[in-house]
Amino acid sequence: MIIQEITSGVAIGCIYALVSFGFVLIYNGVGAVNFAYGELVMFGGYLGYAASVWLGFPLWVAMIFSLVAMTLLGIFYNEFAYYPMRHQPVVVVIIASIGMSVLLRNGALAIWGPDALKVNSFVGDGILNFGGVVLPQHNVLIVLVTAFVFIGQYLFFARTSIGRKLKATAQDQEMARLMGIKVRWMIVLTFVLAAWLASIAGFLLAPIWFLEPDIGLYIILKAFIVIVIGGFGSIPGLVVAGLFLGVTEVLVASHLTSEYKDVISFLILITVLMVLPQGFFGEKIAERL
Amino acid sequence: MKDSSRVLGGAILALGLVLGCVSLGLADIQVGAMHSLTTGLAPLGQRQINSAILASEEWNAKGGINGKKIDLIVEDTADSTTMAMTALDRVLGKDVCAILGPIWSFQLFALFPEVKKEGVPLLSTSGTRALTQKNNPWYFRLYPHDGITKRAYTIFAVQELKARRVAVMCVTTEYGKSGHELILETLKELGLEPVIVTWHNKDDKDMTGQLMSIKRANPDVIISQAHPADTAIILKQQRDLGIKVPHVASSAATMPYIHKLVGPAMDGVYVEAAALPNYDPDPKIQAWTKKYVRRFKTKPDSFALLYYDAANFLFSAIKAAGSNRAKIAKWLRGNRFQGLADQYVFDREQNGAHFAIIVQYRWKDGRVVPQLVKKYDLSPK
Repeated sequence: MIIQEITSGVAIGCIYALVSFGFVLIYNGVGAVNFAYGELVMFGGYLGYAASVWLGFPLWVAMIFSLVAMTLLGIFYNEFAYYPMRHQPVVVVIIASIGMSVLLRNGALAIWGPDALKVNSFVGDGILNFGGVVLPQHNVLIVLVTAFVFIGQYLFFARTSIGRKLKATAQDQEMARLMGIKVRWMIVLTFVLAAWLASIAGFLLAPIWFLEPDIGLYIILKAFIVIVIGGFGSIPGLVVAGLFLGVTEVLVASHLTSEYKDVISFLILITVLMVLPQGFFGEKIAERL
Repeated sequence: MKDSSRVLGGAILALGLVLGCVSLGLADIQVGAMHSLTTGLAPLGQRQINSAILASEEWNAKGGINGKKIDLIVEDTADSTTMAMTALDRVLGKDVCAILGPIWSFQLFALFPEVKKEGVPLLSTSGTRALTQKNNPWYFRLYPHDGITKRAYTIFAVQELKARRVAVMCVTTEYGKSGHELILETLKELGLEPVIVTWHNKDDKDMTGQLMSIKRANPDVIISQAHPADTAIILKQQRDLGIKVPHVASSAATMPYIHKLVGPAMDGVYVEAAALPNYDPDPKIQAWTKKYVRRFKTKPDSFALLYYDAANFLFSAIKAAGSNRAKIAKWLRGNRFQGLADQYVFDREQNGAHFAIIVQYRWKDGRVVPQLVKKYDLSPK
């Protein structure tokens, strides 16, 4: 039975890691904390719903539709909620992201209404049985897609020219500009990549968590815990912390207390902050005096 | 010339009197209608406000109340007590004679002090038992409270499904806690104790831990008390985890949009409710449901039907007692009302509905189809 709980926790943890990755991509790329990222994930799912249910497209076409539409949303976000404010104090950028979060949430409510909606899974609602351990096919898809995304991002940033340019821009925009990198385009690309990740995450969680205008708040809360535990900005940390949180939540609810499951999550967060302020994989950064 | 001046003067005076009478006598009757129209709580709120709008439109089409039009003052209570208080201030600012309120007990509890102070009748369809145990003479409930519905579905699980090992799943809101108490109380009366009780937050997206602990406890029935979105996740994940135990769910599982989310996992699920507007064979209810769907492009749920009855009960009270708040409250206390769902009469605590039904859902040809399996009349003796 414990294997059952761990496998379910792994699937949930993969979603946590995937969502956190988009958030961290923007943070690492441009140094902005994007509190609207949960809403971007929500919109990715809703766009998939619009394409597959309203327009009647097959799921793979709906996925492309969502990716294209999210590209535009990523550009829109950058042009209106980040780029004009990039030289302002951090708090201004944070407030702009909160404003965008409210706009997207209410936009979703106005377009799709208040009822929860579901996007069908690419692999259906079938259930696999491995010697008594049941595994919904969709959970297998979640794990595979997450693995693909994280391996893909490693290859992209380490092996491609554009990936290296993105890393250079993230490290020092001024130096990147002097090296001939078009920084403005790299910033746009960062937001587009994060929007694509949001679209993928939206497609993966919509069949099991369902889509509601408020779901972004839940997503960002979990993502934030994962990011802090993993080490703010660390990609391997996200995977480990996502899986850790997903599995821990299931085990706590099953064996310890279901009533205070979230309290335990926050206790873990506080403990990590006290014992390992830089998270599992974070780097100690000394301030230059 | 003098005569013509007199005639003109008389005409102006008469016109003034007529206009005065019109403005004094035919002014609209202001009725507040507050509910969640935004946020995750809107699926229930919007459907109920639709019902209030439909009822007021029908009355107005027939000439209103004693010749006066009903002016429904609609305000959004969203998902917080702060928004509910703001909505109350706004409707009170319009000098309403009564209010059709939200279903959420956390908002109603917050509204009570102001409602008492203002002395304005407040009607709602909340099921939380404690609401009518707070000695608020201005609050009227028009939905069977949890003392009726939770009792009915617990009795059903034990007596009809012959369950002896009961697992209980509750949401950690006031609604869930109230239901939890009543389920355990009823089980105790029946000589049983639950084999396990689990809790979840209303926004939780994963119930694997709770369901796995239930699986370990080896129950022969699961009784749940939850809101719509968490009900959908519980039912779907129970199926995904292969837990083949009968599930008796709270009324959120009757909502049509939940069936779309849950799909085949609704097969075999029992649900307590007050009415079944989309499937009731009663021609009056069928006609009403068609009208509702035509007008609002969405299916009503049982709460919407009872809210419609509540609105009509209230408008009948205003018709009989006028727009004086105290007289409306007195009329409501002293009269019966035959609504679409059933007959309403207030007991000492001002609970107006005393019936409950149990339905079982089946998955047939890609659709969720309900069947009435038991009706309970728990009117006070």
